[in-house]
Amino acid sequence: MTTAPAPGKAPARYWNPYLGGALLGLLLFLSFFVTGNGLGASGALNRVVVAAEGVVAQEHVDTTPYLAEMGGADRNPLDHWMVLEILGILLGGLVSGLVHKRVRPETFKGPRVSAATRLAFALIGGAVMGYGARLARGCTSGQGLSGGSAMSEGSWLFLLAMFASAYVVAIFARRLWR
Amino acid sequence: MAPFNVTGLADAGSVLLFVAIGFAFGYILESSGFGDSRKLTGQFYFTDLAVLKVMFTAVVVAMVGIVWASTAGLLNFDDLWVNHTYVIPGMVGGAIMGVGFVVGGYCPGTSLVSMATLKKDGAVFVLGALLGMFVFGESVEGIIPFMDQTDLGRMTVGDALGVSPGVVAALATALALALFVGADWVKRKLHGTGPEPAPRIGRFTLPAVGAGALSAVVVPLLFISPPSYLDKWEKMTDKHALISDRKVQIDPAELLETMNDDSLRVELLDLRPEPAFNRFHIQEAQRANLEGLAQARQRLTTLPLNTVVVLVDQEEKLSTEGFKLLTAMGVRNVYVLEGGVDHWLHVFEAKPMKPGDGPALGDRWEVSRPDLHHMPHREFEKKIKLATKAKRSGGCG
Repeated sequence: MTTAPAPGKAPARYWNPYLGGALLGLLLFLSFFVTGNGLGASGALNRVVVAAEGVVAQEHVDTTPYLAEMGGADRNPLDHWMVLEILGILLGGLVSGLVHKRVRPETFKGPRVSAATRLAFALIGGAVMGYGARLARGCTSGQGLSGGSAMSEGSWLFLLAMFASAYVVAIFARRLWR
Repeated sequence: MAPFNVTGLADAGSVLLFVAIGFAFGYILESSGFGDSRKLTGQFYFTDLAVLKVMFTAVVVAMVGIVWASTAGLLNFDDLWVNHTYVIPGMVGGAIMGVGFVVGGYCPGTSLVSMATLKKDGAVFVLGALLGMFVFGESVEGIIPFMDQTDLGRMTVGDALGVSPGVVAALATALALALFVGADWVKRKLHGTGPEPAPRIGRFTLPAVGAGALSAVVVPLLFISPPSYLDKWEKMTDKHALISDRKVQIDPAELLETMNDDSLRVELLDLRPEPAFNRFHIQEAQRANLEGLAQARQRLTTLPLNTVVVLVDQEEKLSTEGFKLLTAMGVRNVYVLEGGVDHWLHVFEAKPMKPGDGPALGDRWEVSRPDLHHMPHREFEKKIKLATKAKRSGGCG
């Protein structure tokens, strides 16, 4: 945090990780139990992209098979359960932030980089993550959490690859965070 | 989806349901600290292991729940979306995401939570992710061969290792516990700091109680075998009327018409013993038995979408059992030849073929594939309705 919070406005502590993990696991289980699907985030973001492309160039969406599958002709790419889910994620994140007094404009960064550098890297990292998530057919939530708990072989290989890569890259990106 | 006979729950009140699931997801992520990129990346420097712990605890808890519920018959595992395995693109994509995670500080779900609490780096990350997905969408046509390689379909860890889901759940639990203990050990070695403070329940800490409870729940799974397909069928009460109301028993004339329909593929499975099959079978029929079908789930659930599976017996006994089995396995478009081979022969040749009748000519009998155009007109009720909607979903679709 860049500024010290005002007295009485100090953010609450984060939950114990095992408690948060157990609750998240129960939620994930309930999601499978009730809907047959786990949790996801990146698929919905992709649909936002397709919707935006549709506004600018519907013809292009119609003639690109990958995009048309979601947003071709009379298909609305936003008409999907995952889009509802990310609306819920935003809302749930906001409410938790309000309850725990953590909603305020700020930039999280390592001590040795400027805010501008951090934002530039966030943009680059986000783009790499977005591209990779489509290549892997899912993100940390959809592949990692959902596929992992549904025992998909590919999801476990994915988790292995992602964490292995991250731990190696972290050595070279130390300046960003430490 | 569960319980077995409750379908459409996700369709009816679905809007609220999915927003509510998302809400709880976002709330838990934020409360656990996933809206803070420093906390997220802390796991890679062993300064803050909360994210690793939350993530793998969640995976294991949900997995144990899924395995328990399907063992107890409350949940049909075959109905759950299991991310399909594409070994190479999945691992390459994962490795790329590892780079994005460290450089950008978030993953897609957590960046949304960060953005929701007004963190600028989170919002910029979301923007970047949208950009990356845009680039992917515009360039994917060029890498389709790469994307589609090493496609193993719906492959679970248990399938791959040849062990039961209970064993997989136990292995995952042991792996997670070892990971937590190991990561805490590395953290203490590198930074001299212990694990995050934990609330106590009586004499024990929360993690100890949790690990104990989880182990107690997992161990019995090692000794319980998952329910058989016929057990599952018994629970699929919404499908039982298909047999009793004769919705899936198709007339021989409908089968012949379907065999002659170029837009459809017929997977004709003859369940009779080999001598009967050798004496006579309908053209293009393959010999099969119930045990073999139970092993062939992967192939039967991934048949081309225009495939109609038709089961054939001498009469209907085995084919009806086969229908129950395949339906419980989640195979689409399964039908039974009404009256079996006997009825087929009666309709097209007007005499039943009994053992000893004529030489064993297999499908070289003319009646094996009667000429549709030289047949007297036959009235029948059309029953085949192709369900072509493939199950293609999951959190990432």
